[in-house]
Amino acid sequence: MNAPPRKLRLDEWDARHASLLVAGLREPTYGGVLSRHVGERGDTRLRHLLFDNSAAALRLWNFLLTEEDRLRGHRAAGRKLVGAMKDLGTVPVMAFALPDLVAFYPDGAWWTPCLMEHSDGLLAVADRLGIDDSFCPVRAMLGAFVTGSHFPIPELLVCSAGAVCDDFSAIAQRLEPLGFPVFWWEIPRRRSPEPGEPAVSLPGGLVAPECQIALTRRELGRVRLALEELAGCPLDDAALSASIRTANLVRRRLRELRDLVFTAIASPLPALELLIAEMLALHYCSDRDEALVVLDGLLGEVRARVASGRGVLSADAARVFWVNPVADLRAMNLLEECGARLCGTDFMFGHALMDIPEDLPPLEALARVALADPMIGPAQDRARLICAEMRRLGSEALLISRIPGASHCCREGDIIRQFVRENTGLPTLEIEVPPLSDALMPALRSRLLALVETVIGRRTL
Amino acid sequence: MGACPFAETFLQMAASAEASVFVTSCDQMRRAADQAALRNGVFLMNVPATWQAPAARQLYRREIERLGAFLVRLGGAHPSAEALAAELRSRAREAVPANCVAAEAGKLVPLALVGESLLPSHFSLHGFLESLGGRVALDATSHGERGQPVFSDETRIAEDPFAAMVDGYFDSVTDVFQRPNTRLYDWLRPRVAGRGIRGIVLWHYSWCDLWRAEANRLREEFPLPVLALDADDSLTPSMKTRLEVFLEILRP
Repeated sequence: MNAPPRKLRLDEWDARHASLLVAGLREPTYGGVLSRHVGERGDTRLRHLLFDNSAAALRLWNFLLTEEDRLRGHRAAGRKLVGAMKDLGTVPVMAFALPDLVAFYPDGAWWTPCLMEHSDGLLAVADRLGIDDSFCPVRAMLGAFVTGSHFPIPELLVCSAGAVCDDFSAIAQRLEPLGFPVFWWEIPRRRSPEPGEPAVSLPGGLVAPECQIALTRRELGRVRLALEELAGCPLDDAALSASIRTANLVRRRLRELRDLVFTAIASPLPALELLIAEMLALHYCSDRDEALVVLDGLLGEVRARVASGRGVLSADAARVFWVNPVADLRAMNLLEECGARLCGTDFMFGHALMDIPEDLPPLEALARVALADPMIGPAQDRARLICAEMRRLGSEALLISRIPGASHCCREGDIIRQFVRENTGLPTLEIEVPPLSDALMPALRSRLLALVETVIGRRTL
Repeated sequence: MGACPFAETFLQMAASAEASVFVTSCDQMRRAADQAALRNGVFLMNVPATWQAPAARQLYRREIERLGAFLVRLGGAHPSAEALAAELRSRAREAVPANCVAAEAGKLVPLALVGESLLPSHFSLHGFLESLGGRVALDATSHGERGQPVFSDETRIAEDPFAAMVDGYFDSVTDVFQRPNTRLYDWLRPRVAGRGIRGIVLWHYSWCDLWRAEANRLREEFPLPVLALDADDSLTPSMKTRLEVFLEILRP
């Protein structure tokens, strides 16, 4: 099973899968050839992607692409579904603490138009509801709710409000008159403490006023009551603490995986698989135990590759720090085709990768992590964290992937670029990636090639 | 990549001010505050989006107190409780603008203007609409009736003016960014019906997702023509043409 690491096309994976089976690969119930997702689910974008050739990556992809089945299985088994929206990492920790509750992010539907290359029609449904392409691609979620054909409609929708992006908030609000009530909770905009104001250190190194922590804690207390009502049983601190410990297991694995991938001489895992793996931090792809198994597999593969000095890319690839998730997964392949590799990421949920303090009352701990969200504070805070990570990892350039239509991107990108330039002197570039970027691919390629050329050129200075 | 003309104009004005006060009610203003913070003293007031839990009122109160401290640091003085109460009482006496009282209209078509505040460069809008045979009988922009707090509890004003300010905001001001935004529609419904509104102009700026997303909801809520106007930083010929056509359709 230990073939040299390389990237495969989808059709090449069929043969690879067969050889893995012959070699003794044992797969979970959701396993199988990757190409079946094209026929069974219409995930035609897979035909245009390049995949890592490891069994661990196969399991990751199959885990991701079968989530809808898993959610329907949970419902069939009598479990109740919680649609967590926007907070990216906090509410699921609470929901998974209760027996028979399963949380997931309907936000994830934003990749459906990409995976199905628009055959899903979700964006067209959103258009008809007045949410057109002036909004971020997460508007696909609206279509998914209305059609009911991509995930089962959750029994409870919980959405953070306040310091969240307007696109998402407006789209979630649009759900209510369509018959999907939302439980809203407030996340304040993080600010620096006033002189003399009691303050608390947050995971990740930021600081917030104590009163903001208290407010967030009280708001999470309201979420707790809503979850208890849905579950029909109390959510005690012991169960919540246990859920936090398990969440931290996932987060620690991801942090180790990221560090290995970003710092190895030759990148041991492609950018695309790393992006998918990071997403497991949010809601474990609806199965927390299995998410740990999937991550253990990836970690094992990556550790082995690093130990043997083998990677999927050339050791001289330009080391790029990537900011924001992309609506078109193909862009992650493109980065590598242009001679670059990931060396740091901020996919907008850095707080979901941080350890949740285990030595605090659980709601206090969750409130602190929720307030460490890079997106709810000043763009300068986010830029400062990015700079620190770039220095730690040895990144050679910053790439900001602007999200089409996202109202926060127009100023935020400029602020981050300026901050990074002034503090690191490194080159920065901004690109915009729509859900299907094929028409823009030549322009995107040219821009990325220019960035790589700049990085390589600087090495000789 | 564009920016909201309202936030952009505000940002430009803030650049020449000694200090500026932004609010967190939308992405564009939050990020504009980030940008302004690169240049000069900025106060960003955290206005909660939720309203249904006591925590939201507590947050708002803390923020107006913090704003007060900011203004004092700039050289202002702490107002006495009596002075603050007197200010609130004077606000309570202010009347609704005369042109918004009723749809006496006559031959003018009563319109509702719903959405974000106008910029100074848009102040000719009312006159322009009247020249076309329409009249704004309901000013539901953020600086219009909808955004005016009502301070009516004399006991509260006398005993705790800060609490009266909090009540005035939460009990009478409705906005599109509030979650849920049902109170906005609760506010609009009786006024649209009571003033005989015959058409709605939705005034939203480019990149204003919050208002733009309400266009279809307004159409679903009210059986009236709705013109969603993508406002630029001035009253452009294209905006004028759209308004002309809208009024041409509405006029008897």
